[in-house]
Formats: sequence, structure tokens, C-alpha cells
Amino acid sequence: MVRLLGAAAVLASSVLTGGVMAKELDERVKLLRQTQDAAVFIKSELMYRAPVFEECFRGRGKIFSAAARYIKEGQSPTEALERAASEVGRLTKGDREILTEYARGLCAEEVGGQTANVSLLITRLEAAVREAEAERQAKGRLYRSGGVLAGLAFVIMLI
Amino acid sequence: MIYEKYLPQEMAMWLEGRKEITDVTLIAGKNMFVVRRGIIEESNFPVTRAALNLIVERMCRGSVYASQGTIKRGYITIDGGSRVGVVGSCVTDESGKVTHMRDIIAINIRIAREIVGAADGIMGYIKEGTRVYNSLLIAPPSRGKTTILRDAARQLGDVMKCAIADERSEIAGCEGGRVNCDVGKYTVVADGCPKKEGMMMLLRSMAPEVILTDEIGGEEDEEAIVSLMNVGVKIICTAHGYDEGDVMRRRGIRLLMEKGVFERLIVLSSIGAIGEVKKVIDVRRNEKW
Repeated sequence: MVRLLGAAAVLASSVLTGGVMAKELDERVKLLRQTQDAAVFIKSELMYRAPVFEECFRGRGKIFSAAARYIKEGQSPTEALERAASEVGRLTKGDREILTEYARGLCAEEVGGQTANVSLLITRLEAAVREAEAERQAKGRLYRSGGVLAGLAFVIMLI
Repeated sequence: MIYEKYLPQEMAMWLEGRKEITDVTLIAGKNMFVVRRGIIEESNFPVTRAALNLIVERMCRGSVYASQGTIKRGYITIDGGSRVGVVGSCVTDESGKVTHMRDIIAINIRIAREIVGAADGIMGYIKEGTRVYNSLLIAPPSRGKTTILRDAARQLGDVMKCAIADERSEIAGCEGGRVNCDVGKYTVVADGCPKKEGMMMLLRSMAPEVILTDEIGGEEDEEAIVSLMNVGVKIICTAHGYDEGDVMRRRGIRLLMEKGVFERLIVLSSIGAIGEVKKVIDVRRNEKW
């Protein structure tokens, strides 16, 4: 009985581990898409209304909303977005660099420069979303099924 | 206070200790100085380019691009309605029109002061009973024209429908969609719009009884004001000058005077107390007080 319980626990934790790793890939895709959609909206706002960054970013996905909060606390838009990129969600180093480079361009003094900067961000995020989705396709199922199989293997070895 | 919000701490503390400042000027590479009671007073705080850029960025809430619409016209409006004059390198398009300004060299913070009752000395000339006279307030710079106009708007706007064409956001101190100064319960403000377009917009959309605006003089102002006359809207405005002869040199005002638009000319004193009335002219009866 104890052995069965132990086996069940091992199997469950292995399946769970595989599931969590797969979920991280899902979360990355979701966050990148959300950020890309937010960037498209921000571009349109810049072109037609040119509001200040705090207003532009507010309510536009997790990363930009966090940046808006930090701007309200007194940080510069560049610092705020860099901080949000490093603290919010599970982005890869490459994903964070895309946002950091965009953040450095926030000092552009006219609308044309700002819209060019966010256009570049949108292009780079599109590529990052494609890459993240390909990774999810390739590895997501692998992690899930790997978790089950590894769990079963441990159970067999224990039994 | 605006000093603490935008300026480095030591500059803010120096300014807080000084009352009755009307202007604070920061020029890159020079010491900050102020104007108090008409006299220049220099600080011992040098203004670096980096400090100036940071101050401008703070005034624009970290978004200089969002203020380029006004920066290219030479100013930024900050919290509380104070106006900050800005000069730097202008970038123009092929037609010579300024598209934006970069490398800001200097700023001048003009402290907006609402003085309730500032217009008490002239209200009797502008309004008799329910009748409002088309009036022109004449004075040199920094003699209280805008402060008096603001209070006149407040007093009139508390009893009738008024509208303000506030091209440089100096009269009503609008910022972020908020009217920061008391310009009357029934007063609407067209903020940041060129005077001619602002007056026509207000006329078409808000049905005011009185329109107030600052610093007229150009021919485009004349066209807009004549349109107001044609529909019976009264106008109260200001113009730079030492006296009525001075303002008549401006074509727009001369045309308005020839068409008999203004009923009252109110000339403020160029010496003595700020806002002191030097003379009032009833144009139609050719009387002076």
C-alpha cells in the first residue's frame, strides 16, 4: 500500500513537472502576444493622440501596465519599462532585450521617432512570438509526455 | 509647490525662500535667476545641460514628444497652469514651418497667479447692469493683463455664459483636460487652439455671450472678432502696448478700431503698482476717465 502511494506520488510529481515546463512555454507565448497587441495599440495612440507614456501604457498588458505604475511612482519611462520587462512574467533573455532596446528609444523627442521605435518593437515581437510558438510546438508535447514517461519509469524502477 | 516637483532640491529650496517671484529663468551654462517685483536676482546655481534636459523631461512627465505641439510654439504648460517658455534649436520643414524643437537651451517658468478681485478696478467699465462692453485692455508685458483678464472671466463667468480662447493655456491654466484657474461657473475654455480657430469654434459650438482672449493684434484676429460682432457676441481682450496710440500701429487692431468694434479701451499703468488703471476711454462717446 505504501509502495503504491509512493509510486503515485512519484508519478504525479513527474507529470506535474512536465506540465509546468510546458506551461511556461504557453505563458511565454501568451505574454509576448499580449505585449505585441499592446504595442500595436500604443503605436496608434502615439500617432493620433500622443498622450504621455503613463497614460499610453496604462491597462495595456501586464508589462506595459507595470511600467505605467512605475512611471507613476516617479521612475523615468526607460527605467520603468526595463524594470517591468525584468520583473513581469517569464521572458527569455532575448525577449527582455527586445523590450530593453525599445525602452532606450523612449527618449525620442518627437512623435515620428516614437512611432518608428514602436514599429520596430512590433516587428521584433512578431518574430519572437513566431519563435516562441515553434518552441512550444516542438517541446510542449515532449515535456508533457516526457513527464508521464519519466514518472512511469521511476515507478517501474521502484516497484 | 512646482519648484520641488521639477527642479533639483537645492534650487527648489532657494526659490521657496523667496516670495513674489514672477519668473524663474534657467539658461544652460549660466546661473539660474529670477524676477521679483520687477528686479532680476541671480542665484549661485549654475544650470548644466543635463539638469535642464532632466527638468524639461519632468515637466513633460517623461514624454517630451507629447508636448512637442506646444514646445514648437515655444512653451509647455505644467501643473497648476504655470507656463514654461522654451527656446532651443528649431527643426523646420521645406516650407519653413517649425516641426519640432530640440537641444533646449533655456526655459523661463512664469508663475501663474490667480488674484481674486484683480479685475475689480475695471469691471465697472466693462459691465453696466446686464450690458457688457467690447473692451480692450492695453498694457506692456508683465503689467497684469492676463491676471486681470482671468479675474474678469471669473466675475463675468459666474453670471453669464462666457468662453475663453486660450491659445497658450495662460488664462485658464488648462493642463491634462483640467481647468486649474477659477474662470467662472459658466465659462468654457478652448485650450491650446490658435485664437482665430478657437473663437470660431466657441462661437459655433458653445453659444457664448462673451468671449475673452489674450494678446490680439494680427489680421486673423480681426476677421474672427468681426464674426463675433456680427452675431452679437461681446469680446474682451488684451493687447501689448503703452497706450492706445501704441496698439493702433498694429493693423489688426487698427481695422477693428476703424470698424468701431471696441467700446472701451482700458490702459494699465506702465509704472507703479501692477494692474493699476492709467485711463479708460469710452470710444463711442470719446470720453476719458
